[in-house]
Amino acid sequence: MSPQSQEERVSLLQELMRAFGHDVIRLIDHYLHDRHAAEDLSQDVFLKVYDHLDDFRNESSYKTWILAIAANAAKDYLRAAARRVTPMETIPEGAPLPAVESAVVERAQRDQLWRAVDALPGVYREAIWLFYGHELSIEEAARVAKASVGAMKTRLHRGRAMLREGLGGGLDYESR
Amino acid sequence: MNRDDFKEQDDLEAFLRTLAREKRDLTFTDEMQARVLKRIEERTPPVTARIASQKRKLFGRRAWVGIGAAAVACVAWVLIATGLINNRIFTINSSFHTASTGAGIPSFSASLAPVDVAQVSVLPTTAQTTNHGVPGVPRTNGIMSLAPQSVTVHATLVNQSDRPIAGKDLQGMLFILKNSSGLSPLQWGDWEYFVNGPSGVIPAHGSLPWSFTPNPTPPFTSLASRQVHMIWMFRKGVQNAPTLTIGTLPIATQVQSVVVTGRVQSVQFFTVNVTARNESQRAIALNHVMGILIFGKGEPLLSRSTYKYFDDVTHSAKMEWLKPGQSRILSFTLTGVPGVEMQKLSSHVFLVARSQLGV
Repeated sequence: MSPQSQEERVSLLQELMRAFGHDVIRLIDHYLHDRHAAEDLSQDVFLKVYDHLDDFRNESSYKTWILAIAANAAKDYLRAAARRVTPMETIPEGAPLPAVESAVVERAQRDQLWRAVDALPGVYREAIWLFYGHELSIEEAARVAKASVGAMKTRLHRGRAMLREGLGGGLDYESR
Repeated sequence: MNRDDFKEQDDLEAFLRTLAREKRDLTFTDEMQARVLKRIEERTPPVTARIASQKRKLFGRRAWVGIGAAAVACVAWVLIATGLINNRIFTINSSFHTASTGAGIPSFSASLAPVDVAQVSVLPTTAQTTNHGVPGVPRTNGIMSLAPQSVTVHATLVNQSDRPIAGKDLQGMLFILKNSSGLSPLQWGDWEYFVNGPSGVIPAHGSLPWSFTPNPTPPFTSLASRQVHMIWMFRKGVQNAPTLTIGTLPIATQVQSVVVTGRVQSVQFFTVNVTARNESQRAIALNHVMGILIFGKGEPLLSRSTYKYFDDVTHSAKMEWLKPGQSRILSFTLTGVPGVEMQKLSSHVFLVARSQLGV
């Protein structure tokens, strides 16, 4: 049921911010790679959530609904940024890893994985982030990305395949 | 479907699962939550908050477009069309808009329309867009052309209310901005226009395509990244609608003269001389001030039949200050339709902080 009074709406928004604020800002940061922008945009997202509380139809969870709004806002931001300034910094292929020493191996591997994920085409990167980074189900990830469940499965499969290919065994799994 | 059904059992899978533990230090803090609540509190119902809200929404869509050229005073006018205002939709209070013409600090209030702007783009003008090819697009071929009308702004207007809104009841202000943060503090580079609403009716919670071909327009070949910002108002006051008040700078103005200075083909040029006096205790930078001039015959200021202009108060590249108590003459050079005796119309001059329009 939609909240009726202003107080109810604000109260609900507070609950939603507490429950999903971290998810929203992290999801946006995954898209933007800019913490300051993520902080600003996540606040805009909750304003949008507030404005559209009446539109929530219980067809999805609040989390999925809000993350979909956040993903949409982030994509809009990136589209604008691409037109506004220079393209986002891309990760050069074969970027050198930090010095491999035993103490930093895991960190280096994580960095490598991050770079590989970031280097994926947008829809595959998004699928990986939603499924693994945010631990959403396939259905939830599909809803957030505004894709079909089938498309989300395909993206996840291909994303993982690209990662394997891109990493090319570069991950020293055995050392973990 | 269970998440585990879709996981692959290998080292990559295990590693990917660590992604969920990343960025744990990035949190939506209590302070951010408080800021959201404060913004909600601030925006109801006053005026500037509403504008900010509209702008936020626009920023959300990031309606960045490429339009360039260093424009100085950029004057636009809206094609005049007669027609009765359709009162069946919203309760109209025709006395809502206010203005004064004597020496004083005139202010101007308008009801903001619940219209959001979506899918903004700026495209090269085509024969189609100037020829009613797009539903809801008003005629533009009656507008005098000072320069090739090479670009057309397209957008979708979304009615956020429960009632239909007739496009002819809408008055828009279109800003093509150089800076992302709003109207530039100085006059260079921004373009401002008064625009008509679409020719149809926007259904409740529905949308209608709209476009506008700026005139004058910067050359399409010298585009830089620009942002399109719009404010939509009702032509007449509407009860319970948030209002936009323009003309809040503490500068008293009085129109001294309206002089027609020349005619070229389909255009007449005229100059409006205005005495401006700083009534405040602080100096005001005229470079940061925008003039809004409206000419009519006593009808509501935003009626379709009035002539509306934006113009810069000074074109000087140097900062010009109006000290406390100081007076000076401001001259606005505008263009009008031949045959219309602008000097016989009642004139209204509103001085606004550029930041008020852009925030």
